[in-house]
Amino acid sequence: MKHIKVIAKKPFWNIDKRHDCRECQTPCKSACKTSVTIGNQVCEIKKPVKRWIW
Amino acid sequence: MIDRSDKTSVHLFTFNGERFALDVNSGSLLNFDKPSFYFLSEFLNSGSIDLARQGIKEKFNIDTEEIEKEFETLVEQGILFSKPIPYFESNLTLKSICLNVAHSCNFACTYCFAKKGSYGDSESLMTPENAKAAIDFLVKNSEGKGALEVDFFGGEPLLAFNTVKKTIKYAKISYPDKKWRFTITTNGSLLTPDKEQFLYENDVSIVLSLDGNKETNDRFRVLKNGQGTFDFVFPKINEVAIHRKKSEGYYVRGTYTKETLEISKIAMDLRNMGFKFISLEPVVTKDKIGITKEDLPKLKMEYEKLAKEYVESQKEEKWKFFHFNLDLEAGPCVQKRVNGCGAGVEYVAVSPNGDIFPCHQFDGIKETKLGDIFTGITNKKLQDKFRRANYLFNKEECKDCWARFYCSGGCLANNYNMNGDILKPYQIGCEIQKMRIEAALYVQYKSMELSPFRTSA
Repeated sequence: MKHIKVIAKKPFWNIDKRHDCRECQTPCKSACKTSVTIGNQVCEIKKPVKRWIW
Repeated sequence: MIDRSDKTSVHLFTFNGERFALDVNSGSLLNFDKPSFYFLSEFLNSGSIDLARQGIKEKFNIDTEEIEKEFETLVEQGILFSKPIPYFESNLTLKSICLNVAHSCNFACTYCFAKKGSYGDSESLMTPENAKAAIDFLVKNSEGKGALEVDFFGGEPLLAFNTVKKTIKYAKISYPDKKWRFTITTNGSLLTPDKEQFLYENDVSIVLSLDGNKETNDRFRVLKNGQGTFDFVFPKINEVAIHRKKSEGYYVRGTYTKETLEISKIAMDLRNMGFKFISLEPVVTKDKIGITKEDLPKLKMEYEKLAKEYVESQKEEKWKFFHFNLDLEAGPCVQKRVNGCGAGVEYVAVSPNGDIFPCHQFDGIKETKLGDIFTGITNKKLQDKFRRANYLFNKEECKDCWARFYCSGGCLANNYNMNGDILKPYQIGCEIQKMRIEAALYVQYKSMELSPFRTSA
């Protein structure tokens, strides 16, 4: 495309059978503590991490 | 031709001179040149394709055919003006607790929501027995959950390090089939190499509180005699950062206020001190240091400045600013995004005496007590209220907000503390969230520009 660049293509549709497993981090376990930062998290299935703050 | 049936499904914004559209329902992110951005803006504002065509001819003297074709392709592919993914209210189950092991603190930070550590009550520490009972309560009530989370919080949780240590050992030995995730939030003052070694070996993530350089930090983070804490804690926090240099097991977390809005400088100061994982959050208070509407333009400028400096500095050495962590490929699923933080249901806080509150920020607010770890949840009516409040679409003001899939309806504690109602969003918090999301999207775009093979055409 000449005028428009696609930076991310439908990332919310990138779902699998574990959809709604809720194995990912609870937001307040992260570095926030005073706001909800689900958008700043990662999917535990797609990107498992050893220590859970990211 | 493109259908503008749902204007709220596309969020147009500019950031540091770049032009973007976020397709709200699919999460697609697009970057535009000037004519295409102008065309879409005109189309969204006027609702008339003819007016958009006319406007672009007058302003840029070009034909819109090519641009319109690009838009049509994006709409056909479900990248723009997409329809929502099916989602529903999750059946939340407990999986995470905050153990408030210390209703006591050796600091007296002036903005502390925990009333300088005591939560408005007499000072106390959690006994190992109560902590173990809390672990039993968590396991008993989290059927089907593989990973369980425990956050040691306070006050200053290292005042009860013996309890912390025994709790971790107890959880691992008593329930070896569970995947345990531990975190601790500390001011760092009581850290020793031995304690850090224990925490590291047990995969405990650490959130270290530090507001910036000495001048910034010591403005609010003080000892009980009013003395600043920077000189005292910096060497200890620095030691943890060096020890964990290559892991993602720590964050240095600062609080900013109306009097310390210069977050770009604060973050860069922390980065220049050598920290690689940094987070800054706004204070949430009705006091005079709380962020108000008048502060938002300055804050927006600060985010723009920080985002620019962040991208530039990545070329020298990688570091992370928590607000800019926005993984466009491996972010949470939509179900997670519409079902909130889980406060009161999936996540609860336990005070030293075993009382259960919806989250760490509700600890000590007697009317929000849910029960205790010995008898379980007794205030089912209140828990049901929290259950409902966790679902994004039960909050009227969030239903059409473009940021809804990133903040998931916001912080229920902030809503309660600022508006007296967990269902009523804290508007200043919403505005700050929107800024940080736009900044994070800009950072993602710029980062991908540096790695062009990751973009799709």
